[in-house]
Amino acid sequence: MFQSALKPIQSLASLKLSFVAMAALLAGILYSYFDQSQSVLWLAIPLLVLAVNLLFAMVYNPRIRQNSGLLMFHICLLALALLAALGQLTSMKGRLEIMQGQVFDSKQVTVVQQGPWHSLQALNKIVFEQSDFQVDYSQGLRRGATHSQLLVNGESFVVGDNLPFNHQGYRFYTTSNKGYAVMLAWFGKDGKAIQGAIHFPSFPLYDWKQDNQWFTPAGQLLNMTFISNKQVALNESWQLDSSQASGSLQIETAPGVQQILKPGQRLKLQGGELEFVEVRMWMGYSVFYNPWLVWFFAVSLVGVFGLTWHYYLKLGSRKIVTRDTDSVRAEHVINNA
Amino acid sequence: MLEAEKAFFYFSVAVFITATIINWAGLIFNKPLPKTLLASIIVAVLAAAISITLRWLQAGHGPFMTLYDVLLSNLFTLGFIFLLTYMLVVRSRPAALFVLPLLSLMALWAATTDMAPVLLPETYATVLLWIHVGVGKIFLGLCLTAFGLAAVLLMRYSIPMAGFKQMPATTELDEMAWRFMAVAFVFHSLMLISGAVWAQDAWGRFWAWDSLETWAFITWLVLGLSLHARVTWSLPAWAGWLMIILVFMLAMLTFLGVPFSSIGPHKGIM
Ligand code: HEM
Repeated sequence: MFQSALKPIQSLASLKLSFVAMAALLAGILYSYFDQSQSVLWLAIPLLVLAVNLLFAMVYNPRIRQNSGLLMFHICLLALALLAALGQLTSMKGRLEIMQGQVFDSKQVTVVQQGPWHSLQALNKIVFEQSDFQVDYSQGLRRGATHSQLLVNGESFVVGDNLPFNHQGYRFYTTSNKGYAVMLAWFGKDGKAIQGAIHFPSFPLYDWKQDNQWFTPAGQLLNMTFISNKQVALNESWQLDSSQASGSLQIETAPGVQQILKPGQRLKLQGGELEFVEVRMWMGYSVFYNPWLVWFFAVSLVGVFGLTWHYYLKLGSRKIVTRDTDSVRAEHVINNA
Repeated sequence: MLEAEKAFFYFSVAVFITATIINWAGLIFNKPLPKTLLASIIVAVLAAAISITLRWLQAGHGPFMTLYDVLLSNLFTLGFIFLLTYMLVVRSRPAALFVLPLLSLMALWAATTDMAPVLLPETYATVLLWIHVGVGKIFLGLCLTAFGLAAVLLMRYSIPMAGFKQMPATTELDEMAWRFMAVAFVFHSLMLISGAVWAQDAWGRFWAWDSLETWAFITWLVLGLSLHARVTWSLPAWAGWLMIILVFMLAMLTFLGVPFSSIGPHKGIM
């Protein structure tokens, strides 16, 4: 009676169910690969079934329970699924553009993904200032090393390529995105003065369309084009160096009416005057936060160790014919066959 | 591209093809494996190694970027891993019947691609590249021998030929093929882990379901599934061989197809 009541529970531990759930996970991955709009449920449901299946197998299946390496491997698989879920809940991904001389402000971050348990408040604790950066290019516009200097409490850090800036658990990575920014000052006839910056599209990727638009506080639309003094060389090596950023600003105040300003020059407009203060550059970063990364790494290594141990015990004990007397005999038999 | 580099590459291609012919002639005419077969594999691998070295010296970096780079580097690494297996695991030698033609085909494919070297992106300047690519090659090498064995077994099963009698028993080859798959699974897992660590450093995420990552994971899962299927049911041996071939095909698609048909960071410089 008791045994028969246990039957359906035990079938949750079945290896056949593992096979079906793994096949379903495979189908889910393929489905979401070919149709990106698919919901995450196609992966989450098979993973959940696998997790339940594995938990029951650990209780009821002696083959997995009594086999230390295999058990270790499967516990790690389960732990990885759990860590992946925790990661989804607590992690965040974002991006930002920050200008030379500018201090990081969490409001600059565009959040791309945010787990429900992640509080963006933590970003407010981050303090650093973007200093100069250099990006190397070689023939054919192939991007080389990126060196971006950050100032943190008076100390200088150089990040770029394989080296992120780690702060308060957040990782800031330089991206291929970077470009020019112009500092502008507005002096209104009403006596109000404001200063700000306009970022132009990624350079040299969009060197052919360095355009942006801006509405003056008086409501006039300005079409701006930044003309860099830096020539993009296709057939030789060169460096994009933010400390040497220079160029002029072409402003279209009305269709066909254009004016070119150099740094320090002013332009009279409706309701005030605009000054082109200076040229700077902005660097694009991606931001990543996942407090479980180290655990992910540790658990996966332990899992592989368990699997290796399992195969060592399972296969290592059985003799494999290598270049020993056995194989010489075997070759002899073959040759005389 | 240096003339000497080209010459050694074409020489390697020719020797791989010759080895394939020697091997198949042995099967068809029911002759034992001649010593020249081992010698020709050694020569072919050596020639590929010299070609890579010359290319490396000229370009200033290893063969990691273009399709030609990857095919040439696989010709050497897979050839070398197979050579080691051939010498150390004597009973796996029948795999050569399918491994050698495959390496020859890969070499011929390489000969049709653009051989000009390109620059290495900055994110490749890390020891993780060596670990990731290294364990990946070992995985593919082990999988290749398993594939060779599975293909021979399927052929022996469907086309009886006198030459097959010279080979070890089917059960022994079958067990050997699955041993290679088991160890390959360990190396594939290591490849995924090292790749994730590198991706976290280089692109700020350890996993992103990009084309290459997705297909690598699919290969891992199908390999895990095949190992499971074998312990779950007593499947007919031929079904197992088909599974090994499927896993190998997926691995080849992942290593040689996806990175060159998708625009992801794995393709190189962006
Ligand atoms: C993605 C998920 C999984 C992977 C990749 C995986 C992989 C493996 C591998 C490689 C083996 C060793 C097979 C061999 O000895 O040749 C194995 C064995 C085993 N797995 Fe899994 N597994 C997974 C999920 C599960 C789940 C959900 C269960 C729960 C039932 C499970 C139960 C077992 C058992 C009982 C064995 C021992 C078989 C034996 O040696 O007789 N696995 N698994």
